Parts: sequence; C-alpha cells; structure tokens
Amino acid sequence: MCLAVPSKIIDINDTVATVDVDGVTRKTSILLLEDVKIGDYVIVHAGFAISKLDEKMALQTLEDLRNILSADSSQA
Amino acid sequence: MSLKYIDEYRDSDLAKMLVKKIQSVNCKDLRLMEVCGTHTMSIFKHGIRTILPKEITLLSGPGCPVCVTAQKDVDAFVEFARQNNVILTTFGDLIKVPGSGSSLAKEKAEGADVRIVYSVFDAVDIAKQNPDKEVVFCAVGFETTIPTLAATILSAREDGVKNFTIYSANKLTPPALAALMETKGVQIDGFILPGHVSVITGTNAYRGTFEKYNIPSVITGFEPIDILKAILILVQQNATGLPALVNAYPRAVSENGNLKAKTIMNQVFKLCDASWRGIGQIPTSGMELKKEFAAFDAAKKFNMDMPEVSEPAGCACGEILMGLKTPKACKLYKKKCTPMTPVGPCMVSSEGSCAAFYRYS
Ligand code: SF4
Repeated sequence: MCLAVPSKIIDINDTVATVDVDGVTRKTSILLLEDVKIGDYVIVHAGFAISKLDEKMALQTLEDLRNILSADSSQA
Repeated sequence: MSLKYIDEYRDSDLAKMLVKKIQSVNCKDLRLMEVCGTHTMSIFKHGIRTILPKEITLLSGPGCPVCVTAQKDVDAFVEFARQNNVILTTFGDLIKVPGSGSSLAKEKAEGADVRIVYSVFDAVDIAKQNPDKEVVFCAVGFETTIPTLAATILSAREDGVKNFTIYSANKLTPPALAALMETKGVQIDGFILPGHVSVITGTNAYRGTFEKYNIPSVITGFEPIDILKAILILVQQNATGLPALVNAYPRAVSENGNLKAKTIMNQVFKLCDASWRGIGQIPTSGMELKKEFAAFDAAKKFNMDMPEVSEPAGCACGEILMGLKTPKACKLYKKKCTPMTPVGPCMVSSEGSCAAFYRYS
C-alpha cells in the first residue's frame, strides 16, 4: 500500500501538489506536510505526501555505509 | 532519468558487500521479523531471503493492513455493500477477502456498488458527485493511513459533505509488537520496523516497547540496501548481546515523526481497543473517531455493531502474523487456498505472507 519511491514536487496549487515519478505525474495532497516547495522529494502514501526526503541524510547514510564496509574489507 | 535515492539504494556492489558482512558475523539461529507488508513484498521481490545465511529466518509480522483485519470487520463491509443506498469505497486489496459468508467482490458481482479508490480523498469526491447516496469508506490502515483519513474528514466537514462516512478498523503498530512479545511461544530475535509508519510516528514511538522487551529493533526503508543494512545491524546486535533501537532510515524518519500529521490525526481520532485477526483484542491498539466527528462514523450512522465471529477453519493467518508458523505449514496452502481461491486475507493481499510465498516459490 505504501509507494516507497520518492516523488518530486513539480507544481503546487494550494494544498495539492503535482508530483513526478520517473516521468509519470500524479496529484498529491500536501495537507500533512509543513513547508513543501517545488523541487522537494516526498514520500507519497495513498494520495498524500507524508514525508520530505532529507537529501543530505540520504547521501550521508550511503557514504557511512561504504566507509564501514570498505574499512572492513581492507582489514580482512 | 535516474530515480533519486533509488538507484543508489539498489547498488549491487554495495549489496554484495553487505551480504558478505552479514555472513561474516558469527550468529546462532536468528528469527527476525519484518513488521511491514511493504517490506515483505520488497524482500521477496529482491530475492533477499535466498541470499541470507541459512541461520537467518525472516518472518512476516502483523503489518499488512488487510491481513490483520478481523473477520467481523470484513463482515461489516459486506453488510454496508448490501445496503440499498450505499456506495462502498475501499482500497483494492480488501475486496477479495472472504468474510463469513461473502466478500466485497462477490457482492459487487451481484450488483452492489463497490468502488476501488486510490486515496480516501477520491471517496469524498464520489460523495460530492452522488449527493443522493451514502458513501462509506472501509478504513483499514496503520499510522501511515490514519492521518490521511483525518485530513480528509476535516476538509469534508469544511466543505459541508454530509453523505460521507468511514468504518474505522484502523490499527497502531507499537501495541501489536508488545502483544506479540507477550504471546506464549512467540520467539523473535529482532524487529525490522516499518519505514513509513515510522515516518509518521517517529523513532520515539517504539521506545516504550524497546525498553520493556530489550529487543533489537531497526527502522528502515524499502530498498535492498536499506533492508540488508537493517539485517546486518540486527545480526550484529544479537552477536554482541547489545540490543538497541536504531533508525536506519534517517532520510525520511526523525525522532518525533511528522508532527503536523500526528496533530491532525489526534484532532479527529482517539485511542480505542481493536480486534486483530488471529490475535484478538489488543487494548488501545486502534483509533476511532472522536465524538465531535460522529457524523462521519459509519458504524454509528448505520447502527452497525457486528458480533465477533470465528475465522475460517484451517486458516493459519493469525499464527503466521505472529511468526508462529510459515505459510507452507498451513494445511490449506496451495491446496484449497490459492490467490484465485483465497481462504484467508494473507493469501489475498499482495503484501500478505501467503501470497508472497505463493508468488515467489
Ligand atoms: S495459506 Fe490460506 S488458509 Fe493458509 S494461512 Fe494462508 S491465507 Fe490462511
């Protein structure tokens, strides 16, 4: 039921945003989010944007993971 | 176009390194439960079960909304569909779930006005377009869905919509985890906690359960890297004997969750006891409409009070949801029960454990 793919906000009209997922656009309510703007990536669940994605965190998590794993393999 | 935060989290080299790392941790037999149905689907889709060391068993927990819906609630939906003046609206998975005597699909085939919607907002639109009908929405969902219902009801009230109601069979995750931990025979060595429920609730919502049961718990997302990372953390915690509550999905989940969504949810709903399939009543594990929103409560408007009924004989959905059995241990699996002729909801929903086993094995 959850759409796990991040959607990009490309237009906002009052409480409804248009989001794009890989070229497919869809209307999404933004009633449940504070301060969303065009260009943000959001998680959409059943027609509602429920979370903004934190870009810095997304990249940080991957980098941390890579660092931990490669440190291990160089030790091995 | 590359999909932001998707390709990176499906990186196969990184996945291989993670699997190698998981294999390198010395562990006894471990039973890890993914609580969320979307995790179950993703785990099967990406073949994660097949690449894990044989010591690790993944169990699918009570996090597929259709699978945990009590039989009496399915019966209530069927009753609504049978009312003359009602348009019954629902998410798609529910319609094939057998109730005690019928299902929504059967009622629809016999002429009932049952419509599948993508969002509860669509149900309100249907109500606006059909002022002479009563539109009832079957609300089965977790913390992720409940705020969407609340926001919709607030805007329906503002728009003066009088012919829209919901039948609430909503459920909350942390009380179910606690109930599992209290159930005799249940043996779980770690929880993979639901990503999108946690988006709303925040990490803190699990703090109580974690502290009481001291069980390794990791919140994570739905891509292979997310899931493998969660498994690695759980395996490591078991190996060191140091359980922790970890947020491995910080790009979407914060300590306190989505405050606006929680405020809206608590404005419209309040805690109540709820019946879970195969588990029974769990105190304060559901959410019902507050008194001031009674006009949107289908159970009240239609005086619908369904008796508790027993679940289909032989169906082991309840035990499967608690990690006590796997689908293959159910006598009806692949025999009397298939996706074409489902006996229980776990074979109906695409997020259900039995349906996933059937499809991928
Ligand atoms: S296989 Fe069918 S009958 Fe058996 S537990 Fe699953 S849904 Fe129920």
